[in-house]
Parts: sequence; C-alpha cells; structure tokens
Amino acid sequence: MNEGGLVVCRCMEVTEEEIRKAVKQGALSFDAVKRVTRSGMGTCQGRTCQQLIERLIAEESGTKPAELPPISMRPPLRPTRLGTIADMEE
Amino acid sequence: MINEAEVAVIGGGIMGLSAAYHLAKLGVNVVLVEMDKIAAGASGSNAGAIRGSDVENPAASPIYEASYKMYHDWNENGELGYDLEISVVPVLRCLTDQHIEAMKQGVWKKRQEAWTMERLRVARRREWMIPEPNIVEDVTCGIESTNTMINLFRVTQGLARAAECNGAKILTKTRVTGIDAKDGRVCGLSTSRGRIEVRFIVNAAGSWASVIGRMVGLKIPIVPAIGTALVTEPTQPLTYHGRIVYDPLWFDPHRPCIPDSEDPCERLGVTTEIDRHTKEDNYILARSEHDVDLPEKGAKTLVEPETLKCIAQSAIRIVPKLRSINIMRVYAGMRPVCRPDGNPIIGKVESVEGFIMAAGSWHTGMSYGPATGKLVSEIIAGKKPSIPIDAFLMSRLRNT
Repeated sequence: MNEGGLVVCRCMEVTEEEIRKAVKQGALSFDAVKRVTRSGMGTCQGRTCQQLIERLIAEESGTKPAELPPISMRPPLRPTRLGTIADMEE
Repeated sequence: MINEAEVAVIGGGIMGLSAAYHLAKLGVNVVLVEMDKIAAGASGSNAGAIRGSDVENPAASPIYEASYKMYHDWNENGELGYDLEISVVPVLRCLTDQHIEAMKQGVWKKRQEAWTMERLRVARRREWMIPEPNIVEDVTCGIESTNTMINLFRVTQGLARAAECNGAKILTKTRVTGIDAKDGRVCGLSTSRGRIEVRFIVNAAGSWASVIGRMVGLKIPIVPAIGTALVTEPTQPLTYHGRIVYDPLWFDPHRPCIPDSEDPCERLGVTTEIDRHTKEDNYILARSEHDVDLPEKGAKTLVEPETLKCIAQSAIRIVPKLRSINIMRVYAGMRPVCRPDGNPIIGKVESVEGFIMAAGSWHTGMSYGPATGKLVSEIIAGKKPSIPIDAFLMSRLRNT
C-alpha cells in the first residue's frame, strides 16, 4: 500500500508523492488537488488532512499556505444518516 | 494581463476547455476566460457518464461517437496527464407491475420514441444478469444496459493543462463585463481584469450563455436547471449494478419537472438514481431537475433542503437499507438547457460576425464536449466542420 511514500490523506490513501505530482501538473489549490487525487474526499472531508496538503501545495508551488485559495465547504457539517435527511421537518 | 488574442473563449467547462485546447493545437492565439474556477458549473457536478447503451439522438450521434473516441485517445496517449478512469458500468432501470401494464398498452413506447426499444430487453427479476436482493420487491422487472463513465475532474483539469501546454492562456476568477463590436463584428472583450482585443469570441458559458448573449444583443434561450446529489460514506455494496434508475413517471431521461404539482418530488423533478462508485466504495444518490433563476454573482449553487429530502426518500424507497448509511456531503450544480428543444447550440450566429456558440448541452455535455470543441476550432480556422452541425445552429430556433 505504502509504495509512494507517506500517506497524507488517510481516508482515501493518497500519498505525499501523488500530491506533489498533482501540484507539479498544475493543481494549485486544495480543491484542485482534491479533484484529481481524491484527497480530502473521504469520511473526514479534509478535516484531518487539509493543513498537511496545503503545506505541500505551498512548498511545491513556492507560496505560503495562507495565500492559497479557500477550500469549498459543503454541507452537512458532519456525516448525517440518509434516514435523518429523509425525515427532516419542513 | 493579456490585452490581445485571436480568440477569447468564455467559460472553463468541458465545451470551453475543449475549444481552447483544439484551437491552441492549431497554433491559434487563444485565451480562456472563466469567472470562477475550472469546471465550476455543470462540468464539475455531473455523474461523468459519456455513453449509454440505451439512449440515442440520431442527429447528435456523430458528435457523441467522435467525443467517445477522443476520450479513449487521450487516455491512451496520456496527453491530459492523468488516467481518465474510463469504465463501463452495468445499469438497471427498475420497472414495476404498473410500468409493465402501461407498456402492454403501448403508453410507454409512445413516450419513449427516442429510445430504441428493440435493443432493450425487459427482464423479470429472476432473469437479471446481476441479482439485487436489496431492491424492494415491487420492482418486479428491469432493463439492464451499460453506461460508460469517465473521471470528469481529471478530464477538465487535464484539458486545462494540455491547452496551456499548447500555448493557450487561461484566466480564472475573471468575469466578462462586456463585448465590443464594430461593423457587426466582435472586436473586444471587457473583463474584470482588463480589456482584450479579439477577433473571435466563443460563448461556452453554459448556464450563463444567455448573459453573454445579451452583451451582443442576442436572445439565447438557454436556462439553468438545478441538479442535486448526496454522497455517502464508503460502504459495503448494497447494490451490484453500478447505476440503479427508477422513475415513477416512466423515467423519461428528458422529462422536465411538473412545476405546479402538489407532490414535491414531481415539482422538483426528483427521480431515483443510485450510483455506486467502485473507486471510492461509496454511493452518489441523485437526481433532481427543475429550472431556477440564474445566480448572476457566480457559479456557486446552493443546495435546497426540500430537494435533499425528496432524493433521500426516493433512494430509501427503492433500497431501504440505505436509510442507515451516512451522507458525507451534498452538492448541486446547474445544467444549461436549451428549453425549446433540449439540444445544444453550436456554431456561428447570423447577426454577429466572429461570435461562435458552444453551449446548452443539458445532460450531455461530457458526451458531446470534446468533439464540440474541435468543431468550434474548425469553424474558426475557416474549415468546413468535420461533422454536420445544421441541427445545432442557433438559426434552427427561429421558428420555435
């Protein structure tokens, strides 16, 4: 499993090497890296790996993590059962 | 900032990206202007289906076939820099006794003229190639077919990169504010980051195509229809067809919603679609479709709670075990629909020289996009389009 080095996104098992490669291919934000590698798409939705990934993007592209575009957050805030959504009150 | 280009492509979705890529490959000086980010609209919020073995539109099939081939070529030559994850998934369209009764009376066939019925085999449940023990029992029959899928994010990101490698410039977070014309011909583009002198403009703005049209005095009948999806956590398979479809109203793929219906599912255009994603071991639950007002501010689409509720109910109704599965995120996106006939608008327009359309592909953007972009590049290069586009010209809509 650990062929490409350190696993950065544990939910989707994306390695440091895969993330660095994506940045080299032009993915210059957390969202762009997510879209091509699936990092941050798993159960934690990036809550665990976002900062690590942004540090890698900044390092690879020569910027600071704080200067990267904001990530797009989507509801729900935490995993919610489908049944709960189906039973929502109006 | 760029202040001059031969061609400005407006819109960073599959249409605009493919047009910019093909133009750049011809050596044309092209700039792509996108108000948000790459694939922020319909191209970033669809299922990634590029071909269904059960859907046909004769006028469009050459564009469809050419695009299908292009995806395979890109995947083989590695030009986009990513594995595009082309896969063929088994599809099950669920039928109930009520559907079968309607089919016997010929009602269903009449409503489904676009479908080639002979190729579709209605199978009793015990005859399904893949059994589905978790689907409710009142689904007594089904039609099994296949869909070809791609990874839409890798396609769009990869096309952007390939276009840039061939010399195209891409400006994201750049809004078009006006178009200048002189003697009936486009000559300039005003953007939030300055003015660009151009000779051609490609309107690939998807759901926003009508806004761009107004800038040159054109009324473009493309409206946005919102679609919503729920993404589950990774889970053991509950279904074995990659895609399960159930539509209580005869699952016409182009059925619009019923705006004044009392049933919220009908009003919001909700039908059941349960897609299993083997790369992520999860499900995407969809789908809905109803017209909405265009958010002039940007591509961000807000999810409507009522639609979520209806999709959740419809998915649980067909696969009850989904009830206890967690939803990780939900999203919505807008599909550009050319309301008069549902077909895209491609090619020159009569009233404005140098203004080329490539928008309005509704559900089929990923299926038509690659070849549409190539056709646009041929038109701009002054060549005869390699596929006839008469059925898609803006002028076809004059009488509707």
